Amino acid sequence: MDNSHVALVSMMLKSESFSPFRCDRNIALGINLTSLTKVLRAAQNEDILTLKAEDSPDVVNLVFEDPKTDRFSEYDIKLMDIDQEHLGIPDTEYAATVSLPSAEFQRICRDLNQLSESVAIECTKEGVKFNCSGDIGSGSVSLRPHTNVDDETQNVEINLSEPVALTFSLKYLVNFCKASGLSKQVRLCLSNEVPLLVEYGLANNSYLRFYLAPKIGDEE
Amino acid sequence: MALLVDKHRPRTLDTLSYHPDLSERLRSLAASGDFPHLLIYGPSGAGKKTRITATLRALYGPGVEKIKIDSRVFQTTSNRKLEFNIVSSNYHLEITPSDVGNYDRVVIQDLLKEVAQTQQVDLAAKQRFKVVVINEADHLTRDAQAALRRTMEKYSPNLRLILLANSTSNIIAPIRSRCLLVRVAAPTEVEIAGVLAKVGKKEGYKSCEPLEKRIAKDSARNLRRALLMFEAVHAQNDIVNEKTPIPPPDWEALIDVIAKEIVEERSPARILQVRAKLYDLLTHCIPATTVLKTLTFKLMPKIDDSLKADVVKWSAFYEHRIRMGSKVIFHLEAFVAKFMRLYEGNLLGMDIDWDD
Repeated sequence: MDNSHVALVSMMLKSESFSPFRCDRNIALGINLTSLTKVLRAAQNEDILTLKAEDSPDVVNLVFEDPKTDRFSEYDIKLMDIDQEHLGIPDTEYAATVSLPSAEFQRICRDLNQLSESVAIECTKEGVKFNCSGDIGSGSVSLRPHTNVDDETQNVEINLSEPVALTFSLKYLVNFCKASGLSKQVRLCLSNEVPLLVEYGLANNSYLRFYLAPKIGDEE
Repeated sequence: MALLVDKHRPRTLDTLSYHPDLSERLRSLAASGDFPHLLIYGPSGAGKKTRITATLRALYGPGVEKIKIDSRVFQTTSNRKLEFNIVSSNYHLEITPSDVGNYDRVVIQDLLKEVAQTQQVDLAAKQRFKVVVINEADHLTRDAQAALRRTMEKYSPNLRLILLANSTSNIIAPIRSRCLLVRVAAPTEVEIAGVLAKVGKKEGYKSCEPLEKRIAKDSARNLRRALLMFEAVHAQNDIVNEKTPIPPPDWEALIDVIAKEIVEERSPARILQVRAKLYDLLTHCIPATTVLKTLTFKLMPKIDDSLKADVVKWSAFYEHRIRMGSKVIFHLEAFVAKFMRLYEGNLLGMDIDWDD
């Protein structure tokens, strides 16, 4: 969860994405993301990455192997003792599910962020509408479902069980869109009174999910 | 190796040692569906923080005790970046806005608005509202309190504030009227002695009633101080009996030495020596106002009755300067110099005429 308890991030990398994958027991590793980023920068794009941790770990071991040059880098990152309660996010049934290209979503969020700091997302049978109003004026982007025969990832798909209208903070949505590089499509799940789910699907059923709590309607 | 103060701190409302009627009230508040904004006030060491944690535990469950500290950067209107620490568990946030000094209004506006405007992101949360605990609420500036009042009013369906203060005199009336005031009185000496006996039994110390009574008396009804003194006595002596001396906190002993030195010799050389000791205190995070107040009280018995009123007046003057200024050592030394002047003048029988 973030500092102000407004957003949640959940990332799942399924065991099928790894080869080999061996995990004898469930363990929780507390890793400082800043340290992890620093170490990962040392890797090159084509490297093979291996993660290892002992039974009662106080370091996690990362090995980068470059198959072509036979270069072997090994890093140990100290672990943190994160004594946090694990937040279980129940899989709820969402009233509306929208799939759209992630670049499109990123564009919409960036454009509307210029106008105002919050966006109202409305999902109806006709399509999904993002509108915002700010000091200089107001703006809105409407997307209708369409299928692109040539490129499946440009599809916009809407599944609706009841109309949904919620307001969210654009500051966080823009941050979520930074994951657009991971997947061509992004899935937005909305339901009234329930946090928004922004999901980037990864290979082998893995995912990166962001949850964002809706804003309360009584704004000035 | 936790201190006795933290190791034996009661975690639930049931295990609190004193003020049972207060615990009853807090328990029924937590059990009812709705919870008001709270303003908890009382002297230092009376148990305000302990009671708040126990109430939060009654509200949200034991997950409240797992806390982490994050740092967040805020930007003021003058483009100055402030770094600010937020202590949080999964269910609540705890902030001390007076840490950033005069910019606490920015922290209140930005952070609290963000927390308050959004619903709970954790779907399994026990309560619909989020709780923010504000420490040292009586050190908030007027602007911050005005910003707080608006936030409290508007976002109360979503946000509940718990304000902690030493006294309500510095809290503006609109905020006081929007909160339920809860006074946590200082424990009596009998209650403190009872707590010390209980802790001693849990730790396996030999019970020594006269010593516990003495500690309770010396602690000035501050339970935290009593527990620390208790632990210090047992750490320094293997066998305790009623005659064992109770060591005062180090900083107080040092201020005692400073007071003695100031009265002994009044000269610039002595001021320089005292400066080193004052720096020692300041680098150990003893707040400057505490140093000044304690020093004044330690000087009182050493001077003539005719001087006392003047010394107190100048002490108050320099305390005001400390609050307004940014480099406290200037004002502390100014007080020392002024005191020396007053004392010297009194000794020589001069009547000093101050223009300011």
